[in-house]
Order: sequence, then structure tokens, then C-alpha cells
Amino acid sequence: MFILLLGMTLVLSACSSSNATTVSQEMGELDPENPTKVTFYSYSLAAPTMKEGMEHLINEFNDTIGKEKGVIVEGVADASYQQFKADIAAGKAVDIVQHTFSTLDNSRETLGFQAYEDVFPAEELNNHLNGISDNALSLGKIDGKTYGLAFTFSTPIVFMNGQLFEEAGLDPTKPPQTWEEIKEYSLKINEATGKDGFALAPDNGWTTEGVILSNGGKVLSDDRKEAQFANQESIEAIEMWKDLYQNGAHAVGSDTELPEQFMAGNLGMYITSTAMHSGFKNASEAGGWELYGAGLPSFGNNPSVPVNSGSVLAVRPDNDVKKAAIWEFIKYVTGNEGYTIITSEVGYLPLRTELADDPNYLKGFIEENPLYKINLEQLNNIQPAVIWPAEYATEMSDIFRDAIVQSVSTDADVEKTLQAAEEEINQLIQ
Amino acid sequence: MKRIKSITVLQHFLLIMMSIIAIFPLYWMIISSFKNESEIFTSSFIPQAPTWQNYLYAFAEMPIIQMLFNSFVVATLMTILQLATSLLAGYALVRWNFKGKLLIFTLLSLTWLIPFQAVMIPNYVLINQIGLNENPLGIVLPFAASTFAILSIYQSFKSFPTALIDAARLDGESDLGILFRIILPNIRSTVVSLGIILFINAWNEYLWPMLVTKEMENAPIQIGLKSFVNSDVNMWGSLMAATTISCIPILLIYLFLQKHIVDSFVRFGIK
Repeated sequence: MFILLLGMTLVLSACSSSNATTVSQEMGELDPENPTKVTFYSYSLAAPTMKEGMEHLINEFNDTIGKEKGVIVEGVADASYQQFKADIAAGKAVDIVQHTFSTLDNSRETLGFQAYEDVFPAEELNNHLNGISDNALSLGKIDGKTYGLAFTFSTPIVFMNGQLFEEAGLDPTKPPQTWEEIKEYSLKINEATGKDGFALAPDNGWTTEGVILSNGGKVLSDDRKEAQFANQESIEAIEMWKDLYQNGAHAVGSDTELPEQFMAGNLGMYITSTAMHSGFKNASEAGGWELYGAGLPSFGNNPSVPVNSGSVLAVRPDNDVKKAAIWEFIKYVTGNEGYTIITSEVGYLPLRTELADDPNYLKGFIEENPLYKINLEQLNNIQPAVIWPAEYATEMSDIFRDAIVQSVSTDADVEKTLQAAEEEINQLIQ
Repeated sequence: MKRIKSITVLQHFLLIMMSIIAIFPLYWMIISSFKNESEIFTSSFIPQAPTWQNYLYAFAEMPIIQMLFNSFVVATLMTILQLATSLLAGYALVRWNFKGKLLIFTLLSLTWLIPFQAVMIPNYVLINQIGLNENPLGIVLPFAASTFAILSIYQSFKSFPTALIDAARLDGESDLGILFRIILPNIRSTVVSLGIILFINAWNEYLWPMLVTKEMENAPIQIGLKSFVNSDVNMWGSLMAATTISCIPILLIYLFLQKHIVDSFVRFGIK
């Protein structure tokens, strides 16, 4: 309740104070003698596992390109995604924000974030984005414009406990490819070890979208004006998951509890974001078992369609010189050097996939951490996670998540539950 | 005789059980701080391979001692200010008759129903304008008066015998003299127990200090503790280590003032 109230207060306060109104592609001249200060609000800076890598990224920019061109980036840790909203409301300069996907539309409308196409020269933009896959570029697009450039980025994979696989007579180097195999393997693990064979948290939110899309279903229409997750394909996908959940080999727990079960070595397979990789790797080493991975399972022979989690870089320059300064930082952190640090030190994927084969950048790291290869392969089929329409984005996201939890983990009828939730969301959209 | 003995045994059993329930979270926190990343999720009551790694990591990641000091400064200042404002306001509302007294009392009571989050942004804008970012005063000032404290003190003042106050006034005591020399010594236990509650509330404050302070060096310990829990990985071992360290000052204060604290709470409860 308090968080909801706080969110409303921040948005209302910010409505009157959006000061980023520049709509021109002209960029001012930077002066190395009088460097321009840029603020960068980042939730990764507030997380101990990522802080060091993110600080390295900022410092490396300031010491190289920043010094040469005349830009100083000041990182601001934003643990709860509220600091940037409060500072915008207070009229402070909030230039770049590491923003989550699901509420981007809301911020675009109420906090003055601007489209890349509106503020940066088309030629510069096209040159820089060359090398990033179209799939990745589409992730932060709203109404055909880039309001966020994909930044830290991960996909869901199946993490596997090698020890439990072997105890069940299974080969962890030959992981399950389909949902049928997931069911078969989870039952075997459960029977042989007494431990849970598989888990996908019903309240996970974003991976659910991948399950639905993989069966040909849809969550939200392309024009974002209609929820569509109660179609036949979506219902079938959720019914498959419900069957898996109720077969006795699926762990029970929430998105915050299940990773702990997996790290304790009590879970055979667990689907979650690759951002958990470093924590799982440390736990497996401490527990004396081997960590394996596989891509998101498919329905039969249809290729799986994972969605992304992570963040975009959203910008709100308030003058032409600031635009130039922001652009230099964006280019650096989403360029070769930036993604090398982001992948090897922060733990996310390089959206410039060719870096994985380049010995000057990430080749060595990927060879040492082969699970990243699974992610990189998944980038070919990736679809953007839903960006719910602005005004009621949080409510819609909650309704969708609650309907999935109810459908999967209770006796509720899947079709009726999804239809009711879809109707509720569509009423909010209208 | 036998019946009395059975009741005594039962009483002791219940007290032991309640003590275990009260102490167990502390015990769990301490042993968890010595478990490694795999063992932390098991239910073992004694760490199988005790490690200092969580403590080393917690100290490396944040200036814990500085943050504890910040918490102490903020909580102490906030408690003193809230006690001072509530004593003065409570005295005025009980002892003085003036126009609009009922209105002020009603407004005060109503502000208790407004969550701080609703007025947080205007406060934040103001703190920015007067340049108190990254400053303990910026954290403390919006909490300098507490409706809860005023209403608590108001109730104590109301039950204080007016004959004593009238006698003091006849002796020529001023209002401040009556407040600090007559009333305060007699409601000491109420003020102390209220002070403890206010201190704990201030110590646990998270959202507002998080907005006002951006640098770890200026932030209270709660900001540091929360940073071990995020959407991707919860670092329970380091969180437990940092929490154990942050509990030490409070536990030490409690050990030294145990008798007074218990006594105050008992009296506060009776009133």
C-alpha cells in the first residue's frame, strides 16, 4: 500500500516537473577544458554483486573517452528505482537512468524520458547500433521509437544440479530440450533422490511470457491495446505447466525462495535468469556439485521463444551539450569495451554477440563460463518482455502474475482464470 | 503442595519456551553469518565449515563502522528532538487554554493517519533547496516532531495530579520550571520508555535516509543492510554478518541499561 502510494506521489509530483523538453537532434560542442557533468542512476550500483563492475565501467569511461572529450559521469546508486523519480520531482538533473522494461512506458509519459531518434542524430545512431541484433534493439521500443537502449540483459535458462542428475542415472551433459523431457527428468530425479526435480516459480513474471510465446501464444497485442493471454495456445502452455507443477516433482515456493532451494542443492532443475549465474556457481563450488545449464525448453519441435530481463538506458537531456555528453557515455557502455566489462564483471550478456568470439574481448571469458553460450544462442529467438501500457502498468503486471500463480498452483480452472484476468486488464487499458 | 509444584513447573516450561522463541532468531542470525554459500540454505544448527568470509566481504563492501556511527547520530538526534518537541507540545496542550486548542489537537491526531510517503517528495524538494543532502540533519529534521510521541506524552500529562502543579505555581515556578522540575522527574519512566521506542523507530528508518543520502559513507546502516538483498541475488551470509555487527551496539546498550529499560516498560505498560 505504502509503495503504491509512494509511486503515485512520485509520478504526480514528477508530472509538473519534467524538464527534459528538448526535441532536436542537434548536439552541442563538448569542451575537455570545461567538462560536462552527467548523472547516471543505476540499480546495479546498489547491488554488492554488481557494484564493482559498474563502478569500473563508469571510471573507465571517465578516465578515457570522458577525459578526452570533456564528460564526467557521476554514478548514483538507486536500489529501489525511486531515487531518480524523487530527484526528477526535486528538479535535479537526472540524465541517464538504468531503467527496467515493464514500467518504461509510464516513465516516458510522466518523467520526461525522450526517444533516441528524437535527440541523437540519425547517422550517429545508425552507425553505433550497427552490430546489435534487431531483436535486441526492439526491446526498448515503444510506438516505433527507442525510449530505452538495451543495456544489462539476460535470458532465462535451465540451471541443473549435476550431482542430482547423476544420482538419478541421467547425463547432465545431455540436458532436457522439451517440456516433456523436463517432466520425465524431474520425476526420475524425485524418485531417485527424494528431492524436487524441477521448479519454475509461478510468480516469476517474465519467464512465464517465454513459456506462452514458445507455444505460439501471446500476452499483449502488438499495438499494446489488448491483452491476449487467454487464447488457446497460452491456455495450453499454462495447463502444461500446471500438470508439471502438480506431478509431485515440482518444488513449491516463490521466486525468492526457489533460488535458495537450488543453491542448497535440493533442486534438480530450476529455470531463472542468467543473472543468477555467479551466485549459483559459488553455491555449487561450496556445496561440491557441478552446475550445468540448458536453454529454455520447447514445446515439441517448435523452437522456444525466451524473453529478456534486465534493463535499458533511458535518457532525458535538457540541452544540446548535455546530449553530446550523454551520447558519448551511451556509445561507450554499449560498445565493445562496455560490454566486455558488463559481461565479465557485472554478469550480463553482451548484446554485441561477435565479442564472444573475439580474443581481444570476451572469447576467453566465454570459454571459462560456457553457460553464457546458451544465452547467446537464445538471443536469436528472443522476444521483448511485455511493456504494459503506461498508466496502470504496475496493476496490469500484478493481475497477470496473480492469474498465473492461481492457474498453476491452485485447482482453479486455467481458461476461466486467464479469461477473467485478461478482461480485467483490457478494462484498465480502455 | 503437589499442585503448586506442577504449576511452577508449567510456568517455567512456558518461560523457557518463550525465551527460546525470543533468542532463536538471534542465534540463527549469528550461526548463519558463519555458514558458506551452500550451507546457508540448510537447516544445520551448527556451521559445518565455519568461515569468516561473510564478515570479510561485508567489511570490504561497505564502511560498516562509519554507517553504524551515522545510525547512532541520526537515531540519537531524532530521539532527543522528538522528546523535546513532544514534552513542550504535550505541556501546552494539557496545561494552557487557548483558542484553537481543540483544532490543533485534532489536526495533530489526523496527521498521524497520513503516511510519511505521502509527504516525502515535498520534504525532499525542501531538503534539496536548503542544501541538506548527504547530511544527518537532512534525515533528522522532517522527523523532529512526532505525533505518536506528542499523544503519548499528552496522556501522561493528563493523568498528572493538577494539585501538585498548582502548588508549584503558588511557589512561583515558571511553566518551564514546572515542566522540568515537577512533572518530568515524576514521569521519567514514561519518557525513558518512549525514548527507547523512538530510538528503535529512528534506527530502523530506511526509505527517507535512502533518498537523502547517496554515498554509503553518509548513510545509516539500514541502507547498507538492504543492499545485500536485491532482485537477482540475496547475499544472506553477508547480510547476517553485517546485521550481527550492527546489533552489537544495541545489545551492549541493552546489557548496561537492562534494569532501567525493563523497569520503564513495565511502568509505561501499567500507565
